[in-house]
Formats: sequence, C-alpha cells, structure tokens
Amino acid sequence: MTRSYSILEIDPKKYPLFLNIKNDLISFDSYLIQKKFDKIFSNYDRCKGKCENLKRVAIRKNDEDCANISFLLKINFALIQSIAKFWELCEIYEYHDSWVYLQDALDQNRILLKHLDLEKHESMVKSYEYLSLIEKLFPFHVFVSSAMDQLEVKCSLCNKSPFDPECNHIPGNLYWGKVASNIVEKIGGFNHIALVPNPADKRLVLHKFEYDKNHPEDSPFRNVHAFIKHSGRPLTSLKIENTTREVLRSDFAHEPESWPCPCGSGISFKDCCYDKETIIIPHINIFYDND
Amino acid sequence: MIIETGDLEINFQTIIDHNDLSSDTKNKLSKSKIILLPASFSTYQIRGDFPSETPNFLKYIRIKHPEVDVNIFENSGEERIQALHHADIILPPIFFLIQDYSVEIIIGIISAYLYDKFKGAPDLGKKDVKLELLQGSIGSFKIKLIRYEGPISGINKIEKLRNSAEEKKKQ
Repeated sequence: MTRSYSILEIDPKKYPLFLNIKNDLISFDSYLIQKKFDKIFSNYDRCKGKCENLKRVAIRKNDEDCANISFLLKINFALIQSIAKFWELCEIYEYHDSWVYLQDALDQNRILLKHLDLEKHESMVKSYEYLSLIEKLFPFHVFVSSAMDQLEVKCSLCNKSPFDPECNHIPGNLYWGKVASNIVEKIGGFNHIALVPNPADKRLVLHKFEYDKNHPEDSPFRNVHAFIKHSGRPLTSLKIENTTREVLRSDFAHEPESWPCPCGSGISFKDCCYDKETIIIPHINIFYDND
Repeated sequence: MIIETGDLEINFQTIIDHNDLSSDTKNKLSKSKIILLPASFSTYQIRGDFPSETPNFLKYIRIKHPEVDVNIFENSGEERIQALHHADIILPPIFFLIQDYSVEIIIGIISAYLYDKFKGAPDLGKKDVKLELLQGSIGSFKIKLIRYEGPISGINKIEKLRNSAEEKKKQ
C-alpha cells in the first residue's frame, strides 16, 4: 500500500520554511472563501516556488518523506487556484472554460486523496465531494475518447521502458517529490474515436454550446448558474439530491434541437424527446447548511 | 455486471511454444508463474497489443510480490500498448497454473492493485473493471477462461459467480 502523509509530520525546527508555507496555505484558504481571487493568482507562483525550495532542502537532507510532502503542498496550492479560476469564470458565464478548471481541481484533489492521511485531512474528502457535486450540474454527459497505439513508452523518472524489470516506479506513486508516470514517446496512430459517458479525461466534451451570456438562466448551464448565484462563495457546505420532474415540452420551446436532450440522455434533443408533450428531466435539489 | 466462463483448446505448453516468440522469451515464460497476455489472446491466441494498464500491473506484481515470477507474452522491446481513453480499467488477460495459484489468490493480487491505484477515491467501488483469468493445469489440454466486466466492488465475488454460472450451464 502507498504511504499516507500528513503535512503535520514536517518538523518546523528542521524545516523553518515549512511554517511560512503553512501560513500561506491558511491565507489561500481564506482568500478562496472571501473570493479574493486576485491574491491567490498573484501569490501562486511565489508559494509554488517555496514548495520547490522545501523539496530541494529535503532532498539535500536525504528526507524523501519531506520531499513528497512538499510536492503535496504544491498540489494543494494548485487546487485552491483551480477552484478560484473555476469560480471566477463561472461568475462571468464562461462555463466551457470553467469546466476545464473544475476538471483540473478534481485531478489535483484526487492526488491529495491518494497520498494524504485522510483522518488528518478530512477537508480533502469534503472538497472532493463538493467538486463532484458541482460536476453533476454541468450539461456534459458524453465525451470523446480516443484509442491510441503506443509504440514506445518511457517511465518519467528513470527513462526506462515500463516493461523493463529494472524500472520500479509505479505510475501515480510519489518518489522524491515527483509523481511517476508513463510518457508516450512514439505513437503508432489513433485507430478510433469513441463517444463515451465515462472517459479518463472529461475535458474532451462532445458539445460546444452557443448561449446568450445575458441570459445564462436560459442556457444549458442554468443549473451551474443557479448554483453559483445562490452559493455566493466557493466551498459552501451543501448536499445535492438528484430527483426527476415532469415538465411540459413547451418549457423548452426555444431550446435548439441540436442541443442535448433536457432529459439527460446525452443524445440530441431532436433524436430524443423533441416530439413528446412532456419530458421527464433530472431535477436537482441543493441543500445548503445553515453555517 | 457480466461474468462468462468457458474453455480454450490450448494449454501452457502451447503458450510458451508460440512460434512468434524468441527462444529467450520462451525460456522466460516457461519459468513464469503468471503470464500477462495481449488483449485479444483468448480469441486469437496471437501476439498483439496490451491494455495500457499492463506495465503498471506488471510492475506492481514484481515490486509487491517479488516471490511471483511474472512475465508478459512478448519479446523484450517489442511490447505495444493500446490506450483506450475511457475510465474503465482494462487489465491484461492473466494466465496462471492451478498448481501454483488459486483464483482467490489472483483476485487478491488484483484487488490490492486496484485498491492501491485508487486509494482515497470515494468512487472506487463504482469504477468498472474488465479482466480475464486463464486458469491452466499441467497435463490438461484445456484452459479455463473466466471473463468479468463490472464494478471493482464485484471482483471479490468472481469465484462465487463463476460457480453459479457453471451450475447454470450444466442445467
């Protein structure tokens, strides 16, 4: 089993820089809640640099655990920045771009879930639940998935073939502050593209929607719009209940037939419920905690 | 969830004597306890592309179970991967001899691998996995095939599901 880390493990006497990074992280959290996104964007590179410095010191001291924790701290800053960018773009109704940052945030959160001791970092579980719930509000249900022939693959850490018995790096695991991964050096070709509901990368969405930014409430992103408007700030404590509701077809009179069907099937409106009198649509109840 | 069982008219010797393999590879495979096969091996019994999970799973077994001699059905340096970019986990078909390992042990290794890979992921059990187990036996001219497609949470029930699938076949 991979080792679970806690940022509390770092001894500030041994690594004085750690206290400074920890304070920055606390500030980043409060900037996010207070929607002071500019402070996050302007300080991000500096904080990332501090984490890199901490890693260098840890490597000099032959301390792999600290090197790995410094990497996780860096990812934590990146996560906060991704959420801030997501939110900022949602507020100006740039939902396609905000989706990409939401996916970045989910990927960064997954790395932290894998490597942190979740009993000591319960907030990471909560933030992942929060981001996953927001993901469900987007109208993306079908994604493009490509199949690729990989002729040459190398380990990102040792440059050996991942089939080589001398390469001991398991992709996704941490080694001296770096994540091991397989790098594709030579591609034989893309032999097919499939449309799937569960791709490895959800950034490749099938639909690119044209919508009036003056009326986001009438766009396919109406649920995201309502959520952002009512939440007011990121990381509010909430619960989502997925139900369904039967509505009149006339409620979607202005919906272009090429858009995905409001019933959530993933296929176009024209080929799905376009001729029905009523449509059963997904209905999402959002419950905010009192605090 | 899909579970299928069947027999393949080949045996361990057929696999290691495959014409397309170099003598070095044949020699290596003859000592192997587990052989990872190309994706379409159970259908065509030929060399081919491996699912992208193969090198990771191979390394995992080598590192976590150094006592297990595991190899892949390909000459060194000629491995080809086909990466399908959807979220399902596709493991390479796994050949093993019943004299060395039971289905439960192989499932245990797979479970531990998947748990480690997705450690911390709240939706772990919901992810789908596709796997094929090819269970050989020295002296037998058939290999038992178990094909599973379904949620990760279901793989520990494969042995039970296989038994009930075989009971149904007999009826």
